[in-house]
Amino acid sequence: MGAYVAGDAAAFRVIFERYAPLLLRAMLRELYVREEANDLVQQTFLLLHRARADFDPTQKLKPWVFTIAMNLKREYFRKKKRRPERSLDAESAVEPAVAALGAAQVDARRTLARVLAELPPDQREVIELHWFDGLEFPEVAQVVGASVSAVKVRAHRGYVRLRQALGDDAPLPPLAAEAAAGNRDRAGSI
Amino acid sequence: MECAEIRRGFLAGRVPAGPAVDAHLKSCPSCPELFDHGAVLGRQLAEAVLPEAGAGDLFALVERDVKAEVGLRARLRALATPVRSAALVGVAVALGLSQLLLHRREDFADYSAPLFWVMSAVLVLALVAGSLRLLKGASAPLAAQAREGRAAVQWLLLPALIALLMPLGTSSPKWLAAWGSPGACFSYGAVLVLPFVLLYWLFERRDDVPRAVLISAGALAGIAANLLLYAHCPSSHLGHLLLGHATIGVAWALVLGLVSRSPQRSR
Repeated sequence: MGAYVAGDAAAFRVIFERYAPLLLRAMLRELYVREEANDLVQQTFLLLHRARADFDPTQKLKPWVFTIAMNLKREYFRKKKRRPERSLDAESAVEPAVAALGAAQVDARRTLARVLAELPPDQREVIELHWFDGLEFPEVAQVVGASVSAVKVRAHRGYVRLRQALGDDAPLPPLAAEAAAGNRDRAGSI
Repeated sequence: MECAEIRRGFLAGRVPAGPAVDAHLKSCPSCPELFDHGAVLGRQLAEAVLPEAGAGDLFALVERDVKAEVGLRARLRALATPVRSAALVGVAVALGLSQLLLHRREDFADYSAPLFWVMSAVLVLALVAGSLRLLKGASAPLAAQAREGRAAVQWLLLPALIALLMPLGTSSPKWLAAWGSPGACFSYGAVLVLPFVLLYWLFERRDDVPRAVLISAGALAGIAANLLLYAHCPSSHLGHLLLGHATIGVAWALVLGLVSRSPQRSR
């Protein structure tokens, strides 16, 4: 970003290639239409360009980009007057990788999506930014405008609610080792 | 060890373990819950993380947008936020000074100068804080954006509060009794503050501006109008101050709020 602010136009493409896939994933998690997700990402990069003089080169770019994107997404939903629901469920319709999941895993994802949607927004936001968007807690704190400890407390409260809602008998996704063993078994039975 | 490493462990398809993990779990307020009951939550959250989505030919559209950023407005809104805020507040101060130098109120020499400057300083400080917040726009943290509605109400109430707490005028019965003509002051202030509103529009980076932000902008225009009217209008009648001065921000907020209802963006 520093190079872009200094006038290196090619650096913008590098920034785009690094962050556009992450932002699209974040948008698609709660939007049903790919075009609308694209539009929000497009707006994010336009605002990034307009606000380039505000970027502090001593700070990380990722939380700054996500702040712009999440503000746009929040405004989008405010204008649409609906809250995102069944987010992960909806995503399965547009993401081919999800189609390959087993029925139990799809059920688990749906259950998680449902209980996530029922969390208070400040807790859900923190968990989604950390888990699904890959921001570290100090970066999440920067995006939401709270201290790192406050963000961790929100995450903890959200985790407690999620685990209670999921229950102790929630279906467990297989671990890598179990999945590999399962694949070997299936391969052997063919 | 950080929470992010715990997450990466789950994403790699395993339950993170080892002395470093144990040490982290003893001190971390959030991660232990991920490991309870066979790490069901950590595993399910990891399972729900989707692969990154391909951007396709989106860059061409972004590039087109960026190339279209030419002209005066593009240059102005690309300025750093402190610069744009200083310019916006500078316009308000210049309007106030122009009244003080050219159209000063008749009783200016009669009333408390310290009170006038304290009141002006309060209004200018509100303008500085408000314009910084307003012009940071979408790069302000989510919490600040969520509180924008509350901030707008504060800016709208400030002129009325000042009128109630710092009645600024002479004890002369002539001015105390003067109802004056609030409509004339209202029109005078609302029109004179137009450059402030215009400059805000030139500085605003968002195409779709949230309504609460536009209401804040209107309220700040009202504060700028009160700054210039206190230098110009001699009335200290509370009714006049509330109806003729404090309502300017409300009027501008209504106008800008209505503008936000009209379709602005088409791609």
